[in-house]
Amino acid sequence: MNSSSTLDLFESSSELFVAALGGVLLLSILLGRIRIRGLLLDGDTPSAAKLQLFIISLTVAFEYAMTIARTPTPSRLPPLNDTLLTLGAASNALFLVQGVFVRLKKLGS
Amino acid sequence: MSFAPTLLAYVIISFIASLEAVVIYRLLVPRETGGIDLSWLLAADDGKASSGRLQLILFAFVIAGGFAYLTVKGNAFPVVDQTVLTLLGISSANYALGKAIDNQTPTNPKPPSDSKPQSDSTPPKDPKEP
Repeated sequence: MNSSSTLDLFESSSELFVAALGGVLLLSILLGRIRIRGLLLDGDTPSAAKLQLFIISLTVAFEYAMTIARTPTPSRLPPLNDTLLTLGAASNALFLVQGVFVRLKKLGS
Repeated sequence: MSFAPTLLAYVIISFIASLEAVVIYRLLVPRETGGIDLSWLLAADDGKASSGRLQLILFAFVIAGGFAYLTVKGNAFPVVDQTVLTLLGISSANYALGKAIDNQTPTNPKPPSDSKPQSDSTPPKDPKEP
């Protein structure tokens, strides 16, 4: 076996590991081994801030995964669309502001 | 490639691949039989799942998976773009700040006003005692 095929084996094992880890985590979530209770709730009520963060996170992650799959230049991770980056930042900011607001309300009561 | 570096490369690859296999195996088997407990992976201190943690894991997986994919495709480590690092930074900051905000909420209830402080209830130590 030459050096190139040795490197290929190593790279493939890394890729396989990331894929397997992702698969195990997804399976664990689906089987209920990872707690997701309260993911979209604030206390006992549904939280709009958490829901929008969840949806936008999934959208950004999916869109970027598609961009990587379509990229013609493997020498560089493709840049993220500016609109998506701004959307992600705004979503996170909104989530944090809502979190601060809820905590202040709890501390005040 | 000469014999010694080839052997070394095989040893290193075997070690890393074995480590990866052990981690995946431990994640799959139940905790009672020596598996890794994943139940609190997404949960915050209060036991409820955290959106910040889920987002951080999601972005980390997409970027790590993309990095591994492009490495195999191009036979070299790809350059990481600035916007990708910014996205990871935003997600990590959200997680850290969310944790800080959660910890601002008092979790221990105040003791009743008629209860005595603990220092009064314990008798003073005799200074002659060793």
